[in-house]
Amino acid sequence: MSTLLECKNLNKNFGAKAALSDVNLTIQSGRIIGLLGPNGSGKSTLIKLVNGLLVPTSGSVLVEGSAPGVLTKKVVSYLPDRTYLNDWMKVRDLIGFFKDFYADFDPNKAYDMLRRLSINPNDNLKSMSKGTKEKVQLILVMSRSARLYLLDEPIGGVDPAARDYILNTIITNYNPEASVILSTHLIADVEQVLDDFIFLNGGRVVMSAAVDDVRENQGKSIDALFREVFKC
Amino acid sequence: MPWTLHPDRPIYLQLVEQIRLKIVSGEYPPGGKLASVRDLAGDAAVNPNTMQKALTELERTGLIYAQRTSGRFITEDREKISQVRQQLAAGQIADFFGQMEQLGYSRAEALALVQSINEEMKQ
Amino acid sequence: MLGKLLKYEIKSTGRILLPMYGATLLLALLTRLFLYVGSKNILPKLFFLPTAGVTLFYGLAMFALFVMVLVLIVQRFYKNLMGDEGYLMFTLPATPTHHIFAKLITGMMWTLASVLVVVLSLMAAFLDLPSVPSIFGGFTELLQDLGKVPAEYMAHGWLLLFEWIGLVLFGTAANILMIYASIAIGQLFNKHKLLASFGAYFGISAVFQLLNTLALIPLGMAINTTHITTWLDTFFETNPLGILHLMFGGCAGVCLVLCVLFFFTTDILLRKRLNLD
Repeated sequence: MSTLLECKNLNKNFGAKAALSDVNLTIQSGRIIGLLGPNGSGKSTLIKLVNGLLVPTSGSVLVEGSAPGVLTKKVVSYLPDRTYLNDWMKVRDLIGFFKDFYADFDPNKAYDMLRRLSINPNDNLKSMSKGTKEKVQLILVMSRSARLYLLDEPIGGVDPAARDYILNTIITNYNPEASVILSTHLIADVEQVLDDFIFLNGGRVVMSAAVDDVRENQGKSIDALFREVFKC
Repeated sequence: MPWTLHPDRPIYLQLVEQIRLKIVSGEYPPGGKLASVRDLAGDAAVNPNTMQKALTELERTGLIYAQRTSGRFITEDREKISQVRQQLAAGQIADFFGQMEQLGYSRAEALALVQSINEEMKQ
Repeated sequence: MLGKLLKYEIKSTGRILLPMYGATLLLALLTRLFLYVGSKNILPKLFFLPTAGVTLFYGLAMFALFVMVLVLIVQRFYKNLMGDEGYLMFTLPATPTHHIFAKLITGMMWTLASVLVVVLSLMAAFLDLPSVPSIFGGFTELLQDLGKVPAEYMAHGWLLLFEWIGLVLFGTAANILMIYASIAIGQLFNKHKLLASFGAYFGISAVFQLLNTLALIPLGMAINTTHITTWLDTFFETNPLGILHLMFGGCAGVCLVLCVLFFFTTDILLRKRLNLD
């Protein structure tokens, strides 16, 4: 087990507004971690900082000991909370694109997953529904054998059957060398697959623990705990 | 038998209970090979680390054993399995008596009731 | 990495520009055909109407070509890097420098290719075929005459050619990089990034206008002082081509300085201040 991700005294402000305040986190390899919090709690901001799409106002983010850069981008597989694929390419072209840029991308795995979700690799992105596009993105991201997967709302926009398939993919893709961080507010759907959880609220980490510890010590589900902690 | 898991109790404990039940009921036959952790986890839709923890616990109690290269197997010790089966049955019966007691039946009354209902169901 | 980025950059721009090149050349040939048929006086007088129409479309096509190149230069940087697609581009294992160069090289390539296509299309539309041999003859004569030019002046000629090429390349690059720098500044804002980018562009333009004017004042004053004027007089007397070198070489140099300035502005901002929110 090694340290994959470390955030030290991480702060991010947008203008006068603090999006993240003093976040300290250490993520070990071989874990599936739920990044849980209400909308606007800083989940996406944290994930973007790890990807280098944003720069910290202060503090540091280290992936396997390096600040976000070419080195870390080789080992981080990122699913953003939006469609980031251009819409004039066919799925097949996108697979070629990922193969070109990521040494750890396995096209066979991608084609296999496309078949299972009955998506035609010769279809244009333009002609796809939002849900199908999200599936294609997830397939591309999960077909890499990365060290750290950062999945921002991977199950938000898809139907329950696809949701099961996605969670199953995350489980069967498990590798003791790698970790998965998935952000969501649909806690009941994901809590069975989690090792650990992090509660974010107003840009602060309010709680982080192993999920079975909460069940053992408090006799309640993470969903129930979440409702308690974030009670309005 | 499908997996039914409740999110308010430790998942690994529930996995231990359900695999134990599958062994006792013969769904997993003595000496049979268990699927890999990854496949079992996928099947139950749980985290592989949790499944691993459950299997380790079952290994500790001797119901399954690991062979270094070829995976995990159900014990061939039928004696052991029937012991566990009896323990589980004893637990169920104790629970039953407890619930009947809440309804106001003594153990003797409860037993008599069981017998008379059993006769009725035969007809 | 740069090679791979270039490949996709050219693919995603070529799919729009290549058909436009085809259309421009086709319209040029049609213009030629209509003009030719019209010149034969075998069709009614009203035939000038479709001819005018085709010629107009041809003119519009050439105009559209340059507008599209400019639009693509802006769009490939703004949309592909700062928009949603940027989430993919900036998580590729490439540096901002790679991205800037891939886009710059592609942008320059299409700018120059478009000039070439327009020249070719003009030739296709209007070049008088019978006069082609005499044009070639003219070229050969010119080359022969060039052979008679003293070596000292030939050297100047070569140097001027290089200075001119430098001016074209650095000039094009400086214009494109100024757009990139403006967008890189615009993305620093948390809201209205596009508006901020335009603001940055006009801001930079204004600053350079001002610098230009400020630079001209001391120059003008210097020219009024007699010993500078006499120095310039003797300089141009002894170096008759000096003024040309000053024009081409000097401007190429200024463009190169601008390129470096805009490039580093863009590179540093994308490296240290990326703000995809």
